[in-house]
Amino acid sequence: MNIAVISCIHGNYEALIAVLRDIDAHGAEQIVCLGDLVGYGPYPHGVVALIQSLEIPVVQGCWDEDVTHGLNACECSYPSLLAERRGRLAHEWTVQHLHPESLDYLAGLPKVYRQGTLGFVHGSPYSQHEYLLPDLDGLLALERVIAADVEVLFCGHTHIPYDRTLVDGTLTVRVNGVSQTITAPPKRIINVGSVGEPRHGRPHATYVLYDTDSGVATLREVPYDYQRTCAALVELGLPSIFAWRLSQGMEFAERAEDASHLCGRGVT
Amino acid sequence: MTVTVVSGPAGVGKTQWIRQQIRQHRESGMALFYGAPGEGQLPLDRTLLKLEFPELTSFAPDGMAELLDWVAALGRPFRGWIELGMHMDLHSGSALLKALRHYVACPQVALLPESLSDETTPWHQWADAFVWLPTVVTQWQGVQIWRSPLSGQVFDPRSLETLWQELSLGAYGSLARCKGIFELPDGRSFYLDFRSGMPESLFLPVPRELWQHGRPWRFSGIELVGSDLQRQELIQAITDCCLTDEQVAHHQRSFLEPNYPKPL
Repeated sequence: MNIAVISCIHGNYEALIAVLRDIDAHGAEQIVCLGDLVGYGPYPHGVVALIQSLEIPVVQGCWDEDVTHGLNACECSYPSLLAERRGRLAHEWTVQHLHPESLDYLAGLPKVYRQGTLGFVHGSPYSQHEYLLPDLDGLLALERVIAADVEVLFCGHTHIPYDRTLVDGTLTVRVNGVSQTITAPPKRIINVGSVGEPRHGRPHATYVLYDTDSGVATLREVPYDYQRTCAALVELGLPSIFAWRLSQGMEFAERAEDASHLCGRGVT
Repeated sequence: MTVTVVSGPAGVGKTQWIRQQIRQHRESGMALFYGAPGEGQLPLDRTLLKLEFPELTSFAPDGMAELLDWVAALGRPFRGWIELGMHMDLHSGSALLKALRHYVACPQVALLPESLSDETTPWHQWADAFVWLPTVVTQWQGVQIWRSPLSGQVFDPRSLETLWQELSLGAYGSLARCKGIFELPDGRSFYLDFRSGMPESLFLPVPRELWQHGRPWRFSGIELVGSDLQRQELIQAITDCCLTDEQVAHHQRSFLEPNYPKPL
């Protein structure tokens, strides 16, 4: 079975439509969404309504949590003063432009979704705000997959796609002079990138097609008319720098680069 | 004794050329002076030159008339440089130069990029001598200049890094040049310099005392030269990079902690 895993749409309706067309063209039988439906982009309500109408599994992203539970981001969300001020502006704008039914929908999303040996989270199994960056310490990365109780963990949040296989995970403990080595089975983390706010240097949307039979993950990069999104951003009163950054494939605001940072906000 | 009047497009390397000239002549025993009548409220180059050459006499734009008194009272050989920014009328200050020429030769030197050697520019008519430089200058016609003093402002380093990246990639207009002195929370100042066509910006510490008590009330500022400059967006971005009073005080309190790392 082919599963399309999408994440981090951020109110970018144009990008979402293009990705859904691409998914359709590739005959994926299921779609799973890893959250961050809103934030920075010009059409938060339109994206929520469309995702809701698809009746697909969706987990809650950090933005989905923040707009419904109040902004309480830690420094991993805002690595600089500039990013924080822009982020807060976007937060307030998004909250003002979301309909109550959209807020209810986002508030009710689960943090983790499991399907057989596959797990789906926004940031990590512990928090929507935690970054599983590609160079995160191997033991910590392995621990996150084991914590989700799955073989393959799909995540988003960093907006940079990667496919990391964790092998040879061993932990040796010595108790009363007796050593014991625990060997972890191979695990995998697949970051699916971002539909609406890519960070790979091009404005194109990214998502992943996963073949559950072969285990092959295919990263899809989908061009779309990002200029329409840029024009809508400015027209609707969001800062023009968001449009410029989107057009450069740079995200609307910068993100954390510290792979060793572990977010203190846990899943409740 | 010579007073060299220097002009050329933004980013060609006028101040750098003058810096090299000062280095050559600082051991000569002559008095040296520098003035930039077009600097307005932003004595960026003058501040840096004074920090590098403390013995240099410098003249602010509103003090250029005092130059004649200084020359008359000096009583010993001197050498000077008057830098005309690219935005200045090449004939500005002609009365001052006419008076100066009673004392000393004042050659007009145009610093131009080699790429303009076959062009006809206003500097071709104006200059007595030319210095051709390998510098890449992407814009020299129809460019705008935007300046802002930043004294008292303290920049969040990560935010400044992002702002500089956005500036150099053209987020706020097509830049030919951008330079500035910026204060950081640890009390240091940095000089940042971007030129279109150069692979990387310069990031240099400014040789000043650490400022660790209150807002740094000494000169800092930014200057941009380019086209289609988006001033409002730029002002907003700069404002968003700056620390509040509380944040400045928070950083400065941490300097008192015994394990606070000393800035290099």
